[in-house]
Amino acid sequence: MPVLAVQRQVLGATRVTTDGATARAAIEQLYAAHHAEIYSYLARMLRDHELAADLTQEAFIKAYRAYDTLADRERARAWLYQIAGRTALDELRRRKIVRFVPWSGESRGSAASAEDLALHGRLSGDMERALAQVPPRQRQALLLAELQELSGIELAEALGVSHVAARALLTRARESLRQALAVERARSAVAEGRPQSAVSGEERERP
Amino acid sequence: MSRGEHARYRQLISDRLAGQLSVLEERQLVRHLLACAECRAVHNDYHEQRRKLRSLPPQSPPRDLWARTSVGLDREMARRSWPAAGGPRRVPRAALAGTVAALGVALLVGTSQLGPTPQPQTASGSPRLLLPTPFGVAPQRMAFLGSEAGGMVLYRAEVNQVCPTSALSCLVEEDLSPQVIALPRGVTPSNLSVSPDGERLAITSSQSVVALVLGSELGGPPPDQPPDRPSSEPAATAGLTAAPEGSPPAPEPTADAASPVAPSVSPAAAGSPPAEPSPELTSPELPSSTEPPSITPPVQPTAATAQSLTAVVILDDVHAVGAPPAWASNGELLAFSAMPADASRGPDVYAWREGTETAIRLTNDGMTYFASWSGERIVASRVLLGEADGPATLSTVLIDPHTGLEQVLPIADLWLPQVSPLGDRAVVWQGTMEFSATRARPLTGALYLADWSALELAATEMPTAPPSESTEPPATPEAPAGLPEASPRAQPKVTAPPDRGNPTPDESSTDEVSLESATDEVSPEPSAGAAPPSDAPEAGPGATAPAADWPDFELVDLDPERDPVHEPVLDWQVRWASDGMLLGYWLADAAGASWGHLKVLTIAEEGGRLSPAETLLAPTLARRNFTLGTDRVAWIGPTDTGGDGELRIRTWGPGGEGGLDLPELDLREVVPAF
Repeated sequence: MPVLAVQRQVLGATRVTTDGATARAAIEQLYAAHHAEIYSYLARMLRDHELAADLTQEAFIKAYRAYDTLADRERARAWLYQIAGRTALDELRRRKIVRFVPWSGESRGSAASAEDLALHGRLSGDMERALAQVPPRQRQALLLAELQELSGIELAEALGVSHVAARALLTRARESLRQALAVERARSAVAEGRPQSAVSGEERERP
Repeated sequence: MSRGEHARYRQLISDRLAGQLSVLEERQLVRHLLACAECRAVHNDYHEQRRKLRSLPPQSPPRDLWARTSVGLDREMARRSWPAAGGPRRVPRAALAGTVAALGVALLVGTSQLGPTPQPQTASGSPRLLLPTPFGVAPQRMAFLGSEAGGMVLYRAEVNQVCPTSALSCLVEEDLSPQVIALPRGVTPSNLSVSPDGERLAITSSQSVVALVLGSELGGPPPDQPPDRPSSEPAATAGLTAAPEGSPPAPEPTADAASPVAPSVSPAAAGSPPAEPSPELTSPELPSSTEPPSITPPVQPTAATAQSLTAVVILDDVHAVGAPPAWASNGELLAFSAMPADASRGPDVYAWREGTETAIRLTNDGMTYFASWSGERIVASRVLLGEADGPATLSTVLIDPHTGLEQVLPIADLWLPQVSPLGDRAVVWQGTMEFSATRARPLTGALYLADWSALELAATEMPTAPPSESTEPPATPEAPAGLPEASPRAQPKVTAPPDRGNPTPDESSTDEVSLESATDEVSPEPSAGAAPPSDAPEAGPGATAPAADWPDFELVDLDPERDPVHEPVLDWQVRWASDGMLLGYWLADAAGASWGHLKVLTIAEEGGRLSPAETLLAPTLARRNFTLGTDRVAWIGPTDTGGDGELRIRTWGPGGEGGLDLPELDLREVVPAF
């Protein structure tokens, strides 16, 4: 019987052809250049500094494993963001913070977990609370575009979607944040005993 | 201004912030903002968002982050087998890569959709102790199809071990059994549908549909095949047997056939289809009136052909359209829809049974698309073109493949329902479509969950005849008929259209009728459980079908966040696990694209209401086609090293989550299917 041996690797693992020392050196360079922004991105995504540190570490280890998949060093930044983003989404999913991730990667409609609520209580400011309400996939797009200042193809690559999809996702993210901010403003107004109209004077009926 | 226009300008406002507007778009936007206070407010809000986001306090990494990361990298270096030190790991990889690459291109990957066996196999350790140990899962067959100059080779394996997701990698060695497939000349597979029992394949190429009977002798019975599976029970096929008198019986599994066969195939072996399609095989038209539909002597795989796996072209010169070909739950009947390759008419639904040469056309209107199976009946979507410039409507019909009789579901404008194996729920598409004389194309819309059992129950109260196309005169006895049978029902049943005012349940005609008759038939008097079709919403361009017009049927949006207008679902595939509890759906990135995103989720039912529940596979980049079992999903993902796809499997169950991928397979030029 002809027998072929098949090596199988776990999902996400990739074949490696670069020697380990070379890959290690390259990852060290990438770490030096990008670890702060990757950490910042993950911290905003996860709203948990310690978890963000763990996942930053994990993201760079994943990058090391997958180093041979980096065909173009010029795109290393988007590549790292993509790895970090996937790591974050996997973590969110694993922890059931997001019970249902709809097709677009959004989670509106799912009940807030206790963990979410606890995190929410620690957040300060309308913007941070509103940002916490934006579905994770949209939040990724928003953070990458506005805080990490990725755009165009780089943004699409970091999100792992087409350019068109990235644009649409970003627009939905802006709109979600806009609505969440309106809710937060109203909530703040009620809490502070101010008439809502004084705060929501800019609020308009959605087209 | 419509909401859609506002949404378009919101997109432009967002693009402008990203510096991605063209000069023309910039002008359009500025002009619009001057005139639209609402959009001006959005514009200001988005700018305010940016300002506030960028003023958020910085997030600084902990000082020990590098120390931690460095330790992790050291550990990773120590445990990974790099090429310089990884000889043993690369041997099997090279062996497979060399073999498959030498064949040319691995064209297809398939797995049968089998449920797990009750007792998973025990884990077996890898001899390379540096790697994590895989764990056992319920065995499931998998097939790879590779091509070479002389034909195609089917590789079969059984997935019974996976790597834990927490592992970096692990090693599983697997036996692969090669088997040559004699495909007719010119057939380049583009899609592969495996029967639930894993014994039959349907191969779709650009201009034909090919059936391939593997037979259980090639790999032993499916591990989880229920003992009462009716496919091989004579009683279950009574009246359905396609093999005419005198046809040889289906071969029994033999010990010889269980052995892998050396790649020596004679395409001219008995039962091989002709290299050039014969007229009777090439025409998708009905048989002539002088030659009523009949099944030619079946092509039974002899011992030789079984070993070489000769494929049979069951329909030629056609384009398969609608949902991919699918096998009935007992694996005996294959259903699909196809239209002539020259687009001279629209699609009709066909069915094929093992042992017959050609597929039989079951509809005759030229605008019916295969959707799925509901039990033993075929679910199809039909476009009812209106008169002249009148609106078209959609209807969903249930077709008995044995008799050709149809029933209409009492809800309009559903498209290509994918019914679960248990027949209790379905995923349907609803939206607006664009119609031409021969094709229907979604414009905007989304996928919804539906209570199929309620719909099907109501359908029994609303029989009707299928309409015929208006461009062809009726009055020939070329009626679409059910699959020929050994029983007296073998002859096509041609009956007159039921009286409009007195429809006869379960006796709807499949005869050709005039357009007027057809219109009448889809507009019966109101009956219980169904609104009159005259009230049905239009399905033409720009028309949306509110399900609310039809009482008692709720459609649950699978993805409420997805805007059906601006992010319409235009090209999709849906699969249910055999237990009907899991749903997988793949959405093309663009209509007709090879790549899209695959998602797997559980479906909950609370208080009689269906809803999406837990996500088992988050949206993942995947090539068209996938397979879904009760404890696993398999798809083709992007490779990291230049290939166009690699097989990936994700499992879940008592053993925990696991996965595999097979990066060695060069799946370039693949349109993989399962």
